Formats: sequence, C-alpha cells, structure tokens
Amino acid sequence: MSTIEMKMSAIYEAAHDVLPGKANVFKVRADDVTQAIEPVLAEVALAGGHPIGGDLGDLSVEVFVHLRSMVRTFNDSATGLDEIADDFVAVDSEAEAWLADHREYLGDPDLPSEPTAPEV
Amino acid sequence: MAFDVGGGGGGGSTSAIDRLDPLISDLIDLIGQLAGNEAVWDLLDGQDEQELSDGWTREPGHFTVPGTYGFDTPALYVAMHMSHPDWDTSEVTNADRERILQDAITEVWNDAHDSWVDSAVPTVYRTASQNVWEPDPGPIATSTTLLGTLRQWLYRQVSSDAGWVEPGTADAPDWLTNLQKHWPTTSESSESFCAFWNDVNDKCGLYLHAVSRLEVTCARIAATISDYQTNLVEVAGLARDRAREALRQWQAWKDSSGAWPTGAMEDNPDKAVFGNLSYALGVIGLFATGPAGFAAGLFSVATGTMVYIVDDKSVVSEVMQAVVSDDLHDGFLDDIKTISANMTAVLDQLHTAAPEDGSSTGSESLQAYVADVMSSHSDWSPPQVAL
Repeated sequence: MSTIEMKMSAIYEAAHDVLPGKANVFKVRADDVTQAIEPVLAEVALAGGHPIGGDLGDLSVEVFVHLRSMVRTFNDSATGLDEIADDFVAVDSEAEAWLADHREYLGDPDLPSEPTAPEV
Repeated sequence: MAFDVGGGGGGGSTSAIDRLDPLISDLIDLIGQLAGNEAVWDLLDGQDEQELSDGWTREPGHFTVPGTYGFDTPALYVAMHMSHPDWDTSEVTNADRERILQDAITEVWNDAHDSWVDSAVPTVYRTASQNVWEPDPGPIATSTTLLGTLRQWLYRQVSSDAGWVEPGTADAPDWLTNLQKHWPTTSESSESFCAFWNDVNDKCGLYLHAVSRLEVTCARIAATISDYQTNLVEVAGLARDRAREALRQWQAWKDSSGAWPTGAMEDNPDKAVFGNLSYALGVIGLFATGPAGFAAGLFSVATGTMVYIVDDKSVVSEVMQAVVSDDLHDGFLDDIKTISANMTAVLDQLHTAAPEDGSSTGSESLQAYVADVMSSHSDWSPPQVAL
C-alpha cells in the first residue's frame, strides 16, 4: 500500500466510520440524560415543586451540555477531515484513484443529529 | 413496602389516589354516620332536658337510629299524661308523638350524615395530601434505571481499554495511530484532536460522578414518595377502621349502662405509627433487579438511603385517639398534613444534607455538589479541536 493510500485510508476511515460512530454513541447517551430527567422533574414538580428538582435539572443540563459538546466535536472533526481529504483528492490523481476504488467514502460523512436538550 | 411501578396515570397498576379515594369515601360516610348518631343524641337530650308543663310526662319509647351501623334504642319522649285536660279529646296520641320523634330522628340523622357526605371534605383531604399522592414514583424508578445504564456506560469509558489514549500507546486503536501518522498536512496539527481524544475518559469520569449523583438521588426520591404514599393509604385505612370501631361502640353502648361512647373506648393496642420509613425495603420493591444491581456499581442505594431516615419521627396517629365525628375529621386531617410535611422533610434532606453514606457519590450535599459542578463548567468542557 502506497503512502497516499495509507493516508487516504486513515483519514477517510476516521471521518466516515470512527468519528461518526463515536458521535452517535455520545448522542444516544446525551439523549438518555434528557429521557431520564424529564419524567423525574415532572413528578418532583407534583411533590409540591420541591427545590431538589431544580438542582437535579441543573445537574442534568450540565452533563447533557458536555456530552453534546462531545457529539459536536466528533461531528466537526469528521466533517473537517472529510473536507481536507476531499480537497486533496481534487488535486492529487493518486488520491483520486484511491477514492474511486473506495466509493463508500464519497459524499459527506453520515453524522448524527444533535441530541435533544432536556426541558427543565 | 410494596410498590407498583408506573402506578400514577393509569395503566395496569393502581395509583396512590386510586387506593386512597375509596378509603376517603368510606371514611366520610362513616364520619357522617357518627355525626348522625351525635345529632340524634342531641335531639334525645333535648327531650330529656325539656321542661314539662302540667299534664305532660316522659314515656319510654323505642327508636331506630339509621345507617349501616344503625341500631334500635330505648329513649324517653315527651308524652301527654292522662291527667291532661285534653287527654280524651286530643287527636294526636302518644303513639303519634313517638312516631313523630322517630321521623325527627331519621331526619336529623340524614341531615347530619349528608352534611359530611355531600361536603367538600374529600377535596380538603385530597388537597392536604396532594403532594404525597400525586407524584408517581414509577417514572422516577424507570428513569433511575436508565441513569444506571448511562452510569455503567460512563464507567466503561473511564477504563484504559476504552481507547481514549494517546496514539501509539499500547491501548491505542490502530486507526488512531494511523490518523496521527497521516494527519493532513493542510490542517492544523493533530495535537488538539489527540488532546481532545485522550481527555474523553477524564471527562467521562467527571460525568460519571454527576450521573451517579443523579441516579442515587432519583432512587431515593422514588423510594421516599413510594413509602409515604404507602403510609398515607395505611393511615386512611386506619382512620376508616377507627370510625367503624366507634360506630360499633355506639351499637354496643345502646344496650349497656348508658355511658357515653367516648368513655367506653379502649386504647387501640396497635397505634398507627408513621414517619419512619423502611427505605431499604422500599428500594428493593422499587427495582426489579434489587439493590444488588446498584451495589455492583460505585455505590449502594440500599445502604445510602438508610442515613436519610428522618430522626425517629414516630408519630402516633391523631385519628386513633378520636371517637367523635369532628375529632376523627380533625385527627385525620392533621395526620395527612403530618405525612406531607414529613415527606417534604425527607426531600429536604436529600437535597441539602451530605449523604455520609461512605459511597463515592460524594460527601457534600446535592445542592452544594451541583453548585460546584456549575462553577466548574469550563473544567468539565471537552477541549476544542482545531483542524
């Protein structure tokens, strides 16, 4: 395998496979936070609106925001690497030929949408 | 402390209010019957205390007190004496007078009974205990389970074999090492990406701690609500049983010496005690997997919750000392207000008291912990990546 082939393979694998996969996993976990905390806050509100609900909500949002930040970073990294690789393909015939043989990497990476933030 | 998950809004299990409402209805009916008996005795006392004019006397009669706990009773009524000048001409006989009094007994009994049954008192009971019966611990328990799954996933991210390591190290995945090696020369260096990647497990360690606090707190809240709902239903049942007992004593009293029923009551040996909770049992009932599922993680819910028990607030139910309608009502109302206040006190503790449970979920209160986390927002944020 030529250096160009190894380079293209490393970048596209990260941009199309690994990083979108990680983004999706963290999105699912961020959504778990939302899915978990919203029913809790709804029920605590019925318990006289006890202030513990406010802190549970704040803590959940804090965790969610950071997990969402992970998702965004994975997505942005995937997109950035893909664009750089595509730019390289546009100017390098050997890279272009490699991509022609790896059509699964054509187009943009399939990235997850943003997780849904909890309504607190 | 049995607990039906998902019991609130309907579905297959019975919500707290569905268990409470029939007891309240029964209790109101029974208090109404007691009030009816009391009204009847006010009426009969009036017969006893009425000043008699010449030609009038008191005759023994036999009367029926209505109700499902009704009874027949002898009582004196004001009757015409045969010495009365109208004795021979009166169109109203003493038998009529006895019947008229019976009609009055029935009327005052029904009025007194209906004044309770048709009143807003059930709404008063519902409102006073709403904070206890309205929240459904089922969804909170379900959320706790989900948080447990999240906590376990975060825990796995912390371990070195999760791959959040420097490229080229023993646990680094091949693609990461390759990516660093072949990092595009047209972009910024791989340094910021690798720093981000290598930091993921550290950040997940922080989030793990936070999610653990969420999980254990939610478990404790669910157990608290569940236990107090159980207590509420139990106290309502005790109040109903006490009202029945009082009515049965009315029935027994009518044949006895004539002492007022209050004086004939005996202490109930099984005082209703509430306010102290079996948290561990509550938690066991809450989750299908039991506490062992939690103990496998970083903390034990069953152990942790024990420290949150309100300090020995065993309260003898007021309603267990009442035998007359107003006292039963007042006692039950005070009881359910106490239950509600105690539940709030436990939630206060979960919120503001340090766990002191020896777990790794922290030694500071939830309130203080959340404040710390929020003030450390930037430290908890993953590093930026520059491509």
